[in-house]
Amino acid sequence: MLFNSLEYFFFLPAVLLLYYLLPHRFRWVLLLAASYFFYGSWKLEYLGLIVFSTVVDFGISNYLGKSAHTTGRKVALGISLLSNLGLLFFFKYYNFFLGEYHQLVGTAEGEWNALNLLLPVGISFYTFQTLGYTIDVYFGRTKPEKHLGKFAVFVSYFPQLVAGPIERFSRLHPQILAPHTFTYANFANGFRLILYGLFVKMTIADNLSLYSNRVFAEPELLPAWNIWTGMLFFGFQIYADFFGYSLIAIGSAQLMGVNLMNNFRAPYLAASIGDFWQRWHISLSTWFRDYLYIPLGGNRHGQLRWATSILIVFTVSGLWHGANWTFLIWGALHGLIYLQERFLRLPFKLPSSANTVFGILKTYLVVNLAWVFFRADSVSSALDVLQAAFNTGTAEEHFSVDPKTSALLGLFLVLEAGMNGKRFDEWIGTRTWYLRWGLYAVLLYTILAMSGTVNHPFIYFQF
Amino acid sequence: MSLWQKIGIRVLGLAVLLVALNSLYKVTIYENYIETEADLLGRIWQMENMDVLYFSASSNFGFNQIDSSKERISTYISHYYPELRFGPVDKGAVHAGLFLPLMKNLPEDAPVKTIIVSMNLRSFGPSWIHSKLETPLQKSAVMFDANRPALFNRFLVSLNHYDNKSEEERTADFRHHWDHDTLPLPPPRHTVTTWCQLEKWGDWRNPKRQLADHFIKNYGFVIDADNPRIQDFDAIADWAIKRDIKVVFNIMAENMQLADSLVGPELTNLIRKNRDFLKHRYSYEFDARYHDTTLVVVDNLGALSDAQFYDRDFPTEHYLSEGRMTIARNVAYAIRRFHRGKFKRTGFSPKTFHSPIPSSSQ
Repeated sequence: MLFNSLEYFFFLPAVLLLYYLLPHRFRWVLLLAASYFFYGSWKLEYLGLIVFSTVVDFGISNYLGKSAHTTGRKVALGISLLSNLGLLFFFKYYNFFLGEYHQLVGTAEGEWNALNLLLPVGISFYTFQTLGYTIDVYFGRTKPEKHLGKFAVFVSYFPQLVAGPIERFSRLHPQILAPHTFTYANFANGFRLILYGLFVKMTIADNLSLYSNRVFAEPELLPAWNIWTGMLFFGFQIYADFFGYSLIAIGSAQLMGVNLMNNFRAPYLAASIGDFWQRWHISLSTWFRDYLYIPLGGNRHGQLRWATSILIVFTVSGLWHGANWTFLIWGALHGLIYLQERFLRLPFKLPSSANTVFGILKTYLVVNLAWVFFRADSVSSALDVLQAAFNTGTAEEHFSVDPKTSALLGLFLVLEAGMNGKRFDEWIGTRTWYLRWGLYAVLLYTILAMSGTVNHPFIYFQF
Repeated sequence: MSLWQKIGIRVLGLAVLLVALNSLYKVTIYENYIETEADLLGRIWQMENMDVLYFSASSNFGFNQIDSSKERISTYISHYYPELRFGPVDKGAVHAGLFLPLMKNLPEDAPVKTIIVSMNLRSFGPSWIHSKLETPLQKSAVMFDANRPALFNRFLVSLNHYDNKSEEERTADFRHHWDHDTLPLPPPRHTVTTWCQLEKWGDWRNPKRQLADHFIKNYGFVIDADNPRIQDFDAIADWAIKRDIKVVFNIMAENMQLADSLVGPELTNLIRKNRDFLKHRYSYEFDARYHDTTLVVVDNLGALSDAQFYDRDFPTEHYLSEGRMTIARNVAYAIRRFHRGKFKRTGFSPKTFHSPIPSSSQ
């Protein structure tokens, strides 16, 4: 079930109604049933994977909570890592590596077959969330949940199940189980976030996708200025797509009194790649920081080890997004730019404000160029797009941007600038009632009458 | 103010806002959207003053460059009834499933007296029902629902709330039918797949072999009461009879001659059986409401020879002008019972018609 589907507009109010009608002690049952229904509506079979992940980590975490046997604990943690990452590897990477292997050894086409696997929606998100929990229990940072059903709710909590934010047990679990009462503030803020999230996803991302799709489908036919338009539009598209999803997720949870973490903070205003990763997909970057970068040694073992760790983290982060060389290159590019920012600086010093502006422009450009690898189906397609972006020759075709799309993008940018890093619900809540309702009317109208009409599920669902 | 009062006021405010936004939508960008994304609805709006509406896929307007006349079938029919205003509602690949929601957009007081609905036999088969062209048609059809606010329809399109299958899913659907639907023929002609595998006209590269297989894939099915198109035609008949509108189901000509020479009598007999099913289904014997003063089926199945079909690499209902005139004449004669006194012999025949007559109803 997609957030931007009619089914969800019935599902969410029904869950809310039951949630507040039920006595607190039964709410976890409702949330578990609703979450499994939500996930099972994609493909019932894949519910088994969540249940498997839940049972394994529940058993292991409870063992870790009781046992003081060092070897046993390490083996248990190893089993959790192996089962979670094994699932992820099998469904997400097996066919990719198999294909690469056969290409390497020169197996003729038709002599090997890829497995007919459909990537379970959100597998990368919930396996990381569960894995983080088990690691936290192992290191004693959190106590294990002793109730299987309540633990299952943490693993499958529907607002953030399929595309995050990837939450920590210590933050999310107590909130889910707390006895929330219905409050106007939660009601208003939740709906505000959902409204703005739908605007960002359906009106901005889905309209921009028409242009970026065309550019990535046939770059050789289009002039360079069209290629740049499509590339920059993809930068906004992916931001709006994922940001919009996150807002709806946060808003949905807010309606039940749960405060999910913010996943974005004006990422295109980042003045460096390091800064960008503190603003983009924050829940994933902090996960990698805590569960990969720090265990690899962080900055405690000299510059060479640190640089290696940085490259590993960024490359793995790239690969987390998908089984393709393009994602690996995208991650590695970010890692290399991160290192460049640390080791190679401008030979002259700019005034502070100029330095910030230069940093923002440079980061924006670099991030958008790297998105080409993220978006393209293959490395050669990405290179075709980049080549076309610098092609000075004449082109067979061209497109111009619909004024409606430009106006909507302009509205989005003005709103984002106006919010100045604040979340929409916080910002709009302090406006006068007529400005508030005026903006609701504008957002509602653009969602209802001007949203994109091409079929585009959330991009991050494929990860 | 209590919590519930506060929420109640806001919900009421939202409802008022939605009504206002719907009105705003209708006076601003609605028509433009319909023109570009759901043109059939725009077409039906223009037909409110017509006496006879002709619903059809491309058979109505398809013509060949060599045609001496490039008029629609519906235009040719209109020449027999100069006092009546004819309006075509046509679009490529459209079918009965979309006609009824369109018809429901006609105002209650519209003067429409007769609807002529083309029955392409192919449109009853899995190849058409699960065609990749169905997704954009279904998308445009969301806007046809006159019972919902226009703004809500537009929102449903954005939510992809329609039969929104990918090309791969649709291909899988019709292949499933080709593999599993049993035909009343002995093996290997008992399924479309096995029938296509049967040796004929050399190997796959032979154009005759390819065309023969296209015929099998497009006509190799049995129509029964569960066929979705039958349900669509039933619903059209019900709707029209309730509104006292005369109904003409126009079974379109298929290239029986070519089907027979390429595939054989097994296929043409199957096609005729399907035609017979349709004629019986919409006869007085099947349902007493289908009296010859309310509903008539015009059988054009074998009305045209191979020479009147201009597509040579795929079975279609695209006719040369002479063929279109023949179909028109058959329909025009069949509906005389509905429009007594209005029928005029035109002075043209399919053999002699050469000068297109301008028609304001087109």
